[in-house]
Amino acid sequence: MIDRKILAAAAASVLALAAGASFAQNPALTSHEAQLRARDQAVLDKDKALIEADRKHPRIGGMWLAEPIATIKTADGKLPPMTPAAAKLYRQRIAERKAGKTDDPVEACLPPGTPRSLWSGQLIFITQAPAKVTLFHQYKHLIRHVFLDGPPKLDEPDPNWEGHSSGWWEGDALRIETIGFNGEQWVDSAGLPQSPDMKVDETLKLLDANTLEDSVTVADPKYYSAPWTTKVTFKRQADNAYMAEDNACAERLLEVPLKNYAPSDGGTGLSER
Amino acid sequence: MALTTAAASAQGARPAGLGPVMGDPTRRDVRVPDTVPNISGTWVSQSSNRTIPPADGGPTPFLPWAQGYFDQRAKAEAAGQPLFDPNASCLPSGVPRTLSVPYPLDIVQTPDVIMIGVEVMHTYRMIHMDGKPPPPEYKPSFLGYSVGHWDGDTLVIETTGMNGYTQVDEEGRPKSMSIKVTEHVRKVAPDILEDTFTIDDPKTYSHPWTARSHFKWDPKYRLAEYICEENNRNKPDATGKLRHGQGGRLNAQEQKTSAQDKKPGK
Repeated sequence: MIDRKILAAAAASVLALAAGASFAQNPALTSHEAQLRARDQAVLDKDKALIEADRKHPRIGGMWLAEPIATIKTADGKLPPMTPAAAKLYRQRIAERKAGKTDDPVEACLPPGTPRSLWSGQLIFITQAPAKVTLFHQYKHLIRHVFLDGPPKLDEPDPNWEGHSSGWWEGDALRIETIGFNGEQWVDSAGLPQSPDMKVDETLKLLDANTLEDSVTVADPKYYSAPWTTKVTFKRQADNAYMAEDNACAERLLEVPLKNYAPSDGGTGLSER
Repeated sequence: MALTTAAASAQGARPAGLGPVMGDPTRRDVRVPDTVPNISGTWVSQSSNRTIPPADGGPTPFLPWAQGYFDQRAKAEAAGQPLFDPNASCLPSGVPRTLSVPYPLDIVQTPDVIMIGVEVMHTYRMIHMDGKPPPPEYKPSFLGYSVGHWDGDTLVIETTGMNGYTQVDEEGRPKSMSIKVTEHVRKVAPDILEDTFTIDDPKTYSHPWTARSHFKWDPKYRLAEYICEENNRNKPDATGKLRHGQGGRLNAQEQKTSAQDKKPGK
């Protein structure tokens, strides 16, 4: 009968040895830790090139702000080329809002989705790392993760609001491709429609150190007769600019003000709210 | 291994047992110096718990009103009629409750700010590393205002300015606007992050008390989009009693579908 524990320990020390003499020589490390460090070193070695390459990329990370855009036009100032069905839906949404009974998902505290979150007019904090660029939106405190390690893995399609973004560097520009939408989004607050088949291509480029341009191309044959492009220009803010919390939209959905439900601790300062 | 040596000599106190850049080296800004410990990457909760009890095993040092609040909630729950909970209305959990939920965190380190993406209720914490107090225009918020600094290999985070609408935990330990939460975040193993947090709220507790959470590194996990507002079906009535399964966009769709399914001939 072979003792499994002894076998496992032997296997672990072989792995630790294989990981490099320095690990094995460090008596402070257990074999488990040595394995983890070996794995980490392997990740580091593999990604060293990625990390080095990112040092050369323009720094698009930081705090950015653009003017809000309610009605999206193409880069040449026209309405996007809608199919008849889309045009009908668009007109209907505009009329409904005018009549004060809009179906705009954002009004029900649902996310704006991609690309609409780009023209909210609120701060966006972009972090830039070698394998992931992340957009932290002040608007509803939503996060968009842009993975730079290849196309999105959609073995299990999980259509959602933000979509699934993947990106790569092309010279000085960051290209982002986003697919996998749930089709409930509006492209803008006027009501340009968006189907689950929409593909959003972005090219993010610094025009100068403090100006970031995002050229957004939308392809969605269900609603648009041809792909169309619009541009949004962000101005750099101080990295530590104050970004107010904005994800308490659901507070508006309550029947009575939130403070009515808060702990009642008479005179402890809660009344300052 | 040059990184380890440089880090060790620059910092002096780095424990020998810790990995050099465990976490996810490709998920932190290349401008973050090598001397700063790497805690970036996705961390899965190992401490999800509806109750956050003091780590010393002692009783929670409630002030009388807080004990009353806690007992009232427990009683209502035992009677099958739970009371208002911000999470049940799609509002953020606040600190420290985000540290005990069964959802992962995605930490991104930049030189000036450490971002902690929180999967549940789609939110994130910003840990300001500039040491400055909140700006004059700051208004109390669900997650508060966090400033951080490194003390050796430990990230110390102080959070104040919370709005008092959230609870310390799901069970119902309350908090006031005076609460200050001080976290000590460090790796206790190369892939385990420990967050020891002290709750100092003199209007709610007779003395500060400390609790602890652990997180495990998971490089494969990608934070999911968590949209509670899609199915906001347990809204409270005006007295704070939660309703069961009423309202909610998805819920309405489900009910419609199930009604169609029940039609004769289907």
